[in-house]
Amino acid sequence: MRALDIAATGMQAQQTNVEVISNNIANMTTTGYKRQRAEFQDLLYQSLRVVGSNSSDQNTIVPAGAEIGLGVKTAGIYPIDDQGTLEQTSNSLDLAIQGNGYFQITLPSGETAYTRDGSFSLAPDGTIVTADGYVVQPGIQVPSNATSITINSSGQVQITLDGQTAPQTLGQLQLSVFPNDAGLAAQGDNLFLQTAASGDPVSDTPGQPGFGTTMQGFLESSNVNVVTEITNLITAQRAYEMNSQVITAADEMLTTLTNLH
Amino acid sequence: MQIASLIATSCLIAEQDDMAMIADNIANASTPAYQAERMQFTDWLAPSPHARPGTERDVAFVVDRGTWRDRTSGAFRKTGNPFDIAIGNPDAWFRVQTQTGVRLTRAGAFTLSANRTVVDQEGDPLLDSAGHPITLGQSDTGISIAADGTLSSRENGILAEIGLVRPTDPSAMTAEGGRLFNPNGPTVPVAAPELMQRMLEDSNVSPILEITHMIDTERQFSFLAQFLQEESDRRQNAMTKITATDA
Repeated sequence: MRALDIAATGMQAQQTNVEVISNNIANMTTTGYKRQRAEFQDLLYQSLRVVGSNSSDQNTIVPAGAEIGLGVKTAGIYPIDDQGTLEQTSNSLDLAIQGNGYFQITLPSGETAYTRDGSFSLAPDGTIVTADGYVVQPGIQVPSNATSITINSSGQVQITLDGQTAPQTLGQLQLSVFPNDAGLAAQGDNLFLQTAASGDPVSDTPGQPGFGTTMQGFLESSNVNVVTEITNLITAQRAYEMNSQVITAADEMLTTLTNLH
Repeated sequence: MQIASLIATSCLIAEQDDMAMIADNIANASTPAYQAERMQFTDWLAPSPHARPGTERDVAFVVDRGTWRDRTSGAFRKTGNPFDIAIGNPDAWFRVQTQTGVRLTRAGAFTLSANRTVVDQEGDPLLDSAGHPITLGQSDTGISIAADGTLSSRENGILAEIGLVRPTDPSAMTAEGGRLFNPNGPTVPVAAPELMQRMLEDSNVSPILEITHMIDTERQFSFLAQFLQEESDRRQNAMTKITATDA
């Protein structure tokens, strides 16, 4: 009974769907989180009657074949990278990216990771670091006698020192953009790593053509829309139930057969 | 005499295939641009083995002769991804270049590959109207896709025209899984594809239809099985009586 196996692939697909939706809902308040979507594809087909084959020796051909699909599979889980809303925090080291791009972060292993979560703070030596204490490239150090930090839309970090009026530029943050954002490998902790699918990053200062701008005192909220997620969840749950209905029906048909004597 | 059982069995087998098809439709209720499949049954006439010519009708076995697809569009859903493209015209198809040749698809969930080529979920490039892959430049951002298939960027204007086609014989198309179809014949360009950017076409499977159809199939199946059972009992009964008379 093919119907049993086919319905099982359907239930598995809907389970994946519910898992992706629940991860989106769990991350609805995660800074810089991009909602994900499970993508499905139909599985291969079994031909009962091949289209185009000859139906007689007079060269008449079968105009439409008979083929039965064998179920569904998960093709991929894609992040949808539309802009999250910007939330004002007034913290001078909170940065939101308006537009394209990722901040570059140096991991303890020396690798470079990428993030859109700009909730930065200062390490004991004054270096700008992420919430996990990883250095934000290019590793700008803020002296302890700085009275205020300003980061403008092109990523320039300026400070005012105690007793001075003219601001002093310490450095400039850079953003990286990728040909295919969806190809980045999520590492958790809002960090992403470059992969063969994402392509090589192009880095430039914020505000250049094709790059976003930085906004001080703001954080980018997750782009999860709760209403959409809940409706998707209901749809996925109903689809799951329908597949289980098919299993019940196919099982009843088998029972009918085994009861013949 | 057992011809009745054989006919009922031919129908049981056909109903099983029909059930597999319903299961596949329901399993693909969330597959973008999936089109529901339907089974077409027909009768296969055979002369009755006991017939004297011209006195008895032929017997008709059931065969599942063909399958066809519901070609209506599914509902359109907004996704927000710039490379999600839904086709408003139910006859138009995208062309993608796969390892085994050009295939058609309506599932417009595309993305950019590492070298900035527009590709589908499997990494197969989407073809433009001239049959070439579409590759964007480094500076192209803010991609917009017009209803007629024109792909342009904010920086460099018109870049390509997405090629949409219609197979001349839609019934000859075969599904290959992965939302791809082999046209098995020539295709012609479609003038008004009515593309919608940042949208995806949902599966056109109607749950109500499928579930009703499923219940129907299941009932018919148990009815036939019951018929087989009664027929078997009747023969058993006849045999018992005949042997009893002989004794």
